[in-house]
Amino acid sequence: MKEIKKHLILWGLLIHNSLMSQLEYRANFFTGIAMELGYFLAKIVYMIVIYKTGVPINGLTPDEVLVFFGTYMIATGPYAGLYMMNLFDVGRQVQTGDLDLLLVKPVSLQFMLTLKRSDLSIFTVDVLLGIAAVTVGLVRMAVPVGLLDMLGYLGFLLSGSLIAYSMFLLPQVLAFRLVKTNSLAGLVDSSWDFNNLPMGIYSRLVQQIGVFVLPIFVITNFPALFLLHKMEPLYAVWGIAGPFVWFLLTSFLFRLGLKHYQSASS
Amino acid sequence: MALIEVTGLQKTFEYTKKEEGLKSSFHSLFHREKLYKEAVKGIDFSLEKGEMVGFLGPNGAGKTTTLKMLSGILFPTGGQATVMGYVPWERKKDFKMRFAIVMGQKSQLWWDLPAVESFTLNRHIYEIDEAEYRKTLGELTEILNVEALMGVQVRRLSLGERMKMELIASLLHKPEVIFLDEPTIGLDFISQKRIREFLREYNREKQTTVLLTSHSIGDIEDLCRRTIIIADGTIVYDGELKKINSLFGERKRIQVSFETEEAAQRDLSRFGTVCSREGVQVVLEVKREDVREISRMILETLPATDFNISDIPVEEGIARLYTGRNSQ
Repeated sequence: MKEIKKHLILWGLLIHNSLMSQLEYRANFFTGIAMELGYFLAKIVYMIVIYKTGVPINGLTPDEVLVFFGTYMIATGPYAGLYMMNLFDVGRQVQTGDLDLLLVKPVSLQFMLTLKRSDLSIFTVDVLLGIAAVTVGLVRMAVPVGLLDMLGYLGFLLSGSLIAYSMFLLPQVLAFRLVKTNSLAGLVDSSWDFNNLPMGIYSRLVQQIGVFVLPIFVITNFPALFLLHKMEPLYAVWGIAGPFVWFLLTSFLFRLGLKHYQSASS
Repeated sequence: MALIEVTGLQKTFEYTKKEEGLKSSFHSLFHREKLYKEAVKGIDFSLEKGEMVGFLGPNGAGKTTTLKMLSGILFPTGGQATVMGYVPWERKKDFKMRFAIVMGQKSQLWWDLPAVESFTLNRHIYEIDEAEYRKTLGELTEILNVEALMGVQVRRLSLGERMKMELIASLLHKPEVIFLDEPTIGLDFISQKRIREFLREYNREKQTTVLLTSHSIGDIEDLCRRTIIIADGTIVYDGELKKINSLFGERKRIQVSFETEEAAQRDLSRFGTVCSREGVQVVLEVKREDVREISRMILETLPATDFNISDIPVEEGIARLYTGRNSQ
């Protein structure tokens, strides 16, 4: 418990330092926000098309699709704002030996390596826009949302984030052996966009793979399915157990991979 | 029991062969020849509490690799080592709380922020009590004379100032063992001197055990009574730096200046080994016991205008060890 508290305080400090570092470069800070808004606008085009045609997608009304889309934006906040930039940097740190000074610190290396930097502007923009989209969808449907719905939704968002973190960290573990893994990281990153529409649009086989093998759909589809009361019981169980399975597996492989770390000549 | 104990420590790196040119780059996409480099070849040494030991060696000799194994960054290929009773590569938290490593070419500071933000982070990483942290930080900033720089972003500091901040960041948790990997690299003479003075004082006061690598003989001469020299992964010397030349026999240098260049060009081999000839100046190397007799002969038989007797420079002894000419 003491260690968890220590790491949470450290995470707060790391976010605080990252934000201060970002604010040092004002132009870059505001450009980052503009870029994220542009990303949102590019994505919202799908929604405009869906509303214009008014055709249900696999039984989902445009308002329901908007809830899925908003959930996707909320989940993109922690992904793009809190850890993805660190995961992309793992290969460089292994290649240059910058990992050395993190390895000697009395804290979890996986924690320091994957959460050291953050971009609070991306996080805030994505989460706020996502909440707005979900709220509009729910209001238009006039669906009553109780406390249990809210807690469940948040819980599945958290478990989705944990599964996303574990799943996207996995290819980076190979950096300890292969050193340079940015192409692989890019390949995995591109799978993120499978998430911006309901998984119902894919075939049953693709859905099963995307839920149980490479659980990309667990990340954003599960919270929305829960909120819209469309979740299958098996999915609910997997939505709770899956993140722990993936997190433990990735952490184990991370520690195993670390044994291959060769540093770099100085 | 020694604080640091190293027995038969080995490290072999695996790498692949790469021939010149694009064709071989395509070839290596499908076939790579594995090669092995023995960076450290079974070394033994120990350090007692409070010792400050220099670790010298040419580039690629295995100094940094040894330091990285002793700090748990690298797993060894073979052998044993304990630091304060811990096996470093087990990477136990208690061990990490009690030592520090400073690398002259790597930074733990946040580049865009004043160093104090990194210090605060380290306070939490090392679980240092707030009052204790304030006290230690105050002491270190005062000794290193950097109080005025606490609000300056790291990227705006000079190399010397940055190194002082790196040292502070590494010493806040009062480590019992410090590994210093080229802490004065790239620093000007004055900055080098100040860092050395600080390290000497810190070691004396806190009785910290220090293993220091450097290419600057000045660092080692100034700070370390004992020096370990590593060359090609093997320890070739362990002792006092000033006694290094005793490995090559007890020899002295005689520097003679002549009236004319013609006089300097004469055959002087009967007096000793001619090391160099430059203008009117000749340097001879002779056995220590012959110095008096040869000096007398030179002064009596040759038109010498100046005369000087000295020890062989330490750097030369070290260079001989580096190149494996210690049998001469």
